Amino acid sequence: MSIFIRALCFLCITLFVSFDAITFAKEKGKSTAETENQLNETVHEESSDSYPDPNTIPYRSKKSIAQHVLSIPAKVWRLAWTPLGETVIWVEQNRIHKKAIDFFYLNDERSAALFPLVSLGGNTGAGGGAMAFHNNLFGKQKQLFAQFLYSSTRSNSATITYKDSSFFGSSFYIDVTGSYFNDADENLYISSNVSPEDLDESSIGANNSVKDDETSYATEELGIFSNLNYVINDEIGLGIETSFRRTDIDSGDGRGGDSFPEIIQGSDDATLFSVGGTMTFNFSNGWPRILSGSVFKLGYSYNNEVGDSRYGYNRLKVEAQQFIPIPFLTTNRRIAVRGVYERLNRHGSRQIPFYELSMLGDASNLRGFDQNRYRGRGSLLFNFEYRYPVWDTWDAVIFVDEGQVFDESDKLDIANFHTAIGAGIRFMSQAGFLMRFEIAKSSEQWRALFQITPNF
Amino acid sequence: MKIKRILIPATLLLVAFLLLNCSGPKYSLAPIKTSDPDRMDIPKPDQKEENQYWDLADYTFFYQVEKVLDLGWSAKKIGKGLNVARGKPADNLNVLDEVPNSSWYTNRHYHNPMSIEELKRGPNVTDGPDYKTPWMITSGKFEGGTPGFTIKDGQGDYYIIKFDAPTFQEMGSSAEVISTKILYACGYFVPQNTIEYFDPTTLKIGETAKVEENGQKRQMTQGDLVAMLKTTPRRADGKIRALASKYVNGRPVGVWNYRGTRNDDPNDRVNHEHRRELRGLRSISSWLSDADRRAANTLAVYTTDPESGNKYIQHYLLDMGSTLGSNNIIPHAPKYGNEYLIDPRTIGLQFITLGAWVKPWEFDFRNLNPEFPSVGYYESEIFDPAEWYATYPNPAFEYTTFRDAFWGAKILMAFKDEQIRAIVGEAQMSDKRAEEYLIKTIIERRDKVGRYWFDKMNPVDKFRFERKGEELYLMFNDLAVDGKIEKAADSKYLYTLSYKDKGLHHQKFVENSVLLISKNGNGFFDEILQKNQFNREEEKIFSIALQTQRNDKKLSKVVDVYFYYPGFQNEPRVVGIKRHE
Repeated sequence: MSIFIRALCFLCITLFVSFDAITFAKEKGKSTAETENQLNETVHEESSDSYPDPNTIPYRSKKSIAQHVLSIPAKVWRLAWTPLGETVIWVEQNRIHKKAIDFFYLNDERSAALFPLVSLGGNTGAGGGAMAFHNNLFGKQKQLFAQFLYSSTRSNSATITYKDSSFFGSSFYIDVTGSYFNDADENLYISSNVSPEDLDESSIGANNSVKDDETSYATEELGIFSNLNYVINDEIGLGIETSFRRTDIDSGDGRGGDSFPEIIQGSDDATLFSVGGTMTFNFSNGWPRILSGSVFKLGYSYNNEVGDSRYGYNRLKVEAQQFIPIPFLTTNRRIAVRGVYERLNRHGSRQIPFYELSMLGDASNLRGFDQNRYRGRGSLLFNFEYRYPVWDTWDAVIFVDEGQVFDESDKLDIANFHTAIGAGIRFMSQAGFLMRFEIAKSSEQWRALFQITPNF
Repeated sequence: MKIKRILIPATLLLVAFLLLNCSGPKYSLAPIKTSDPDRMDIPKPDQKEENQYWDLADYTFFYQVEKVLDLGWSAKKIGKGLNVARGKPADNLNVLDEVPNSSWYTNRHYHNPMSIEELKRGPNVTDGPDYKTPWMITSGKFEGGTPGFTIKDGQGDYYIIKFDAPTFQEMGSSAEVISTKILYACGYFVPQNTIEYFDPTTLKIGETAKVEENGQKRQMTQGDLVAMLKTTPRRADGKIRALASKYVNGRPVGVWNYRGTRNDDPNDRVNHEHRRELRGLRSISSWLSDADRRAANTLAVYTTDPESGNKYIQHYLLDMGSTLGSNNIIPHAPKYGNEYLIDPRTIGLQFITLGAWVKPWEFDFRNLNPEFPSVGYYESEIFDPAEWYATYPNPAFEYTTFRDAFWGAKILMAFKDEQIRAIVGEAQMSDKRAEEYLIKTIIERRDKVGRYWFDKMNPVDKFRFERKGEELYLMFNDLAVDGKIEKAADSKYLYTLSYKDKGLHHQKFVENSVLLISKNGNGFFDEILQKNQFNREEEKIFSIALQTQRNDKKLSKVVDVYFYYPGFQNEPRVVGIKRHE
């Protein structure tokens, strides 16, 4: 290292001396004829009549040897990026990007298309597939959407949705979705000090479970879902949701999959029917950034097993969001607070499948913990975020998440809250598309989260 | 060991800085260079296509890193930070710190004040399209920000016809005409742009007229024309307002960049980022809110010199429709001019301060609902000439030194109020209140730019000798006083006459821009030269160090004026001006 530095010093000093000598010679008018011609402004030793006409001598940018040497790292950098630059230029000049997009559209109106899909991470892991849509099938604003993603024989998904935003008149919105979902590695945390015979909701993903309790299970689900929404006005909306799902559970391929207890409730096949309603009160202001106001959501669903009587429960979910501009700053620096209370109640002696329990540990709720880290018959979650703009469509966010699960409401305890803190950057578009990158820290780990959905 | 690690790179950078911080010549006894011979005959160059995506990505990210990796640039930057170095001077300056005429630039209004009529005419070589015969449409443009078409008139001239957005009538066309005339008077090459009111029946669709739709070209139809003109506002007499931009003479060969040179043009020898007229354009662009100064808005034209017959490339500025308050079809966003599209400085500052730092323009929403739709968003309160930025980094603007910016400022300060008023009148704005607002704002921004850069330098210029009887005077103009941003009564000038770096008298204050050099004509100089027995030409150089003081406060930077006394009763002449930054 020192030899290298000494060599550099020597080179610089040599260049300095040589450069200085050249400069000196130029200024004294004693350098080469070419230099003399170029530097028409230098002092000449002859009479003014003998000066060449400067209007015949062109200007020229020149670099000394020293300047060339000193710019070598910059030239290497430029060289490294030249292929990328040339490619971008070629793409633009030949309109490759437009042609590529045109290639995937199936009609001139660009209302129907078939796009390839690539997935990195997520439920199905790295995989590929296709997405197709037609925005005006059977009339305007009636969309058919289909998507297929394949990662492996045990990790894949397929969805087909039909949306009609003008069902029975413009105030009704309906969508019907059929989906198939297969995931070979979902997390489940079961307290190791509980024997398999004693397993119930209180020992699955409980507040006191530890990370080493991790097991893995595989899910295969086929379902059909429908939503009928009625928009009363800009602020109030009502919805009816129904679903019919068949779910198969098996031991998973991930860490602890071998120890997955197959006698846990829900660990076999089950078909569930669900019907429920939602009410939304949206008193918020601002788009795509929500700057102030409140949002309230209330949801209730009745769930029962079809063809058997093992499972039956109802689910109540209440959510409140408040957006508060910072008084001494400006309107787009704001605090966003969300509280979510969820509670599941059994129908008599019927059970709740473990995968239907209320869950915390997700990029949209208790960040900093593994997905579905905590489960219980109920959960309470608070998110506190400070959001502020850093660019036209970018927000920075600092957040604190607090959450706990419980079996009975009277077991709620401030000591049971799990905390995650973090910060991130969000990109949003006028159309509502949101992409967020967040770093979260909990008592268990750091997590880097990349999502294309908002949390709230 | 740690000290060594710090000292060695520091020494290297210092050496590099010393290597690069050599100063240029101060004066020349040769005639003053007034023209750069860059219009020599060259073979037809290739077409150079614009590349908007890479241009943005390169200058925003890759070029910024590249600059830092150029150790010479970094050393200079550090030197500037330590106040021991100055920025690299432009490469095309004569000894008077001026830009000779070239295929890029022609000295116009500043050195040879143009009449009101000349300013109003600007680059126009015709009165606009000929109305005597129908306008034949040769091609159409239905996509993009500004729909329009190309016509051929009865004189055989081609014009691009563009329309204003219906919601911002007269905005884009007014900006285009006004800025075109201003930039022309500043010295740049610009196309002829005129406001036209035409009857739609004047239009005929030519057989070769094609339109592009979804990437496909097809024959233009009457339906296309009707659809285009459907939303275009009409006057009571049914005529439509449009901007007619005349094709420039010669064959367009693409864009020119604000960096490097063009490989296929042997005349192009000066790196564009080191051209004074491009660096100094920053001041003028800030005045006109011309943030979109990028390669895509330039044009290189292979043209023929009518006198010599030489074929060479002439360099034009284009698209003045996104200047003043206009961004073609919508008003300028307040962001543009105040920060780059993607600006690490403002992003970083807001991020680090957790949003406590609020951009001064962040809550200026006047562009969304402008008081004068025909003006758009053009204001003078938030505008800060020092903190003005193009849409994305422009290498020439990044290299702009105080001297370059001062050069630009003195050119724009040459526009008097009544001249600005006359030029704005050429836009034929129907809302006189809007016109008055525009004139007022142009004047206010001009004064802001002038005041800022004149304060950074010593704004004295146009040195010349004058004899009154036996007394010899060096006269000069105080540009700040000429521009009425300073009062003559508040201004004093401190000067020293020197010979061979030795003062010939103590520093003297004078109250006006006239320096008494000699009371007995040339005898004063003869005496000094004879006394020292100096006969060689380069020994007949005298210099004056001049500073300006306002209101008895701080002195300005120094301007050194070198002059040559040829002897034998001949008049002295200025042979060099050195402006200290």
